[in-house]
Amino acid sequence: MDDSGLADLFAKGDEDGFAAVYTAFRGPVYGMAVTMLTDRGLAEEATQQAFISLWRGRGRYDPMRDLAPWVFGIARKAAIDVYRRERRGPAMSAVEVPEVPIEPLSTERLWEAWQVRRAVDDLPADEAAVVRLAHFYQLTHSEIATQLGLPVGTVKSRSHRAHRRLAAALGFLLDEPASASGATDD
Amino acid sequence: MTDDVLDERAAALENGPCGQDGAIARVSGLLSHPGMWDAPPDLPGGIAALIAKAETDSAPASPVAPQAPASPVAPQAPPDDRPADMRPPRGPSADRARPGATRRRRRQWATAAAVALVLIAGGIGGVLATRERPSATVQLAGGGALPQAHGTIQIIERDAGWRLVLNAQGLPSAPAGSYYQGWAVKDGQYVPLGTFHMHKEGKVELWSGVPLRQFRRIEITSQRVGEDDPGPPVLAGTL
Repeated sequence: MDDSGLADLFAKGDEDGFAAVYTAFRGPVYGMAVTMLTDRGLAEEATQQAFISLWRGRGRYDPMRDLAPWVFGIARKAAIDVYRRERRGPAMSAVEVPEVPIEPLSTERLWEAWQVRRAVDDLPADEAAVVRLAHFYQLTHSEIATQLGLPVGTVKSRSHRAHRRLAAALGFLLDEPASASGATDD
Repeated sequence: MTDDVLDERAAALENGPCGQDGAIARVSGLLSHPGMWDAPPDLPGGIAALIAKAETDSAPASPVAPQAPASPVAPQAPPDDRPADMRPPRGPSADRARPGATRRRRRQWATAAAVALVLIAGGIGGVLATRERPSATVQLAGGGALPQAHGTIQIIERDAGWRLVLNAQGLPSAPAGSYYQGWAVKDGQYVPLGTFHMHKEGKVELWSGVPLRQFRRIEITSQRVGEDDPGPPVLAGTL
């Protein structure tokens, strides 16, 4: 389902629409939180908080607005809240601790991470496995072939198809300088 | 976008950026980040439980700092405001006259001693904790047969080398005839960091005698007994 279909579904405000949004965005929300917080436990917490905020704020969502930047803004805020709390540490006294002015990663960088994660999530599973082994594990084509039990030629063709798909999905990122972004600061 | 441009960009993403193409470099960098690949854990109880939590936890968190726990020190007797000559005599006879007083005083001394011990232990612990503070923490993601596994490795510089504390989740006990091995990896070069079996859950201690900053990744591989080459990775993270 594309984002406009999701937006219409979510705007209804019922559980089915929320479940569809959760399925579509759980990866990018969690991935952005991992990118920002570099801790999976905190990222899980931020993800859950983001979707709780989404559910509570569903009445304020205007379906005429793009859904992805709206979800991104809420997810980013949830991750920043967790980050600030962790930076501040546990309360040791009733003395108010000044809020830490932070911006661990710029909105533009986080928006890029969000978009790349969405493109990765949209890859077919067999292509995603090859891209993952190539980039995350830094394996060569022949190492990937060994790992997956495939001929090297198959790995090469899958890898090419996958990267072409990524290049197409992320064309707008690759066209634009880093400062351009569809994300808004909420 | 023309097919030529698409092919060119796909090749740049696949083979790594050439020159100063910042956007390709940034996307390539992101593709090697755990945040692009880690799967979020399933919601306990599913969507319905999350919605229920959202509905029930609607009250904002209290901004008031949590109250300190009750003091372990025994309650003090109220101060005696009477003039000194009107106060009961102090000493053993007075304690005998008030049987609870000795026990109370002993309890106070015992409590004070316990508090002092805790403070001393805390001080020593603090020194040790400072000495044990990790210089870096590497996030590990699962791969191969264990895509859901994940964990962290804390790197602690010691006099004899680098102590690595692995905290892995979703890493099962190594089957009979196999074990796990840690490696520092760079450009096909593998330096062993130690072996373990995870027959019981817990943290694992590995050691490195080489500076890890010279390496690109840490991998945990599954090894067959008798095979020395690195096996398939089950956890990996970028240094």
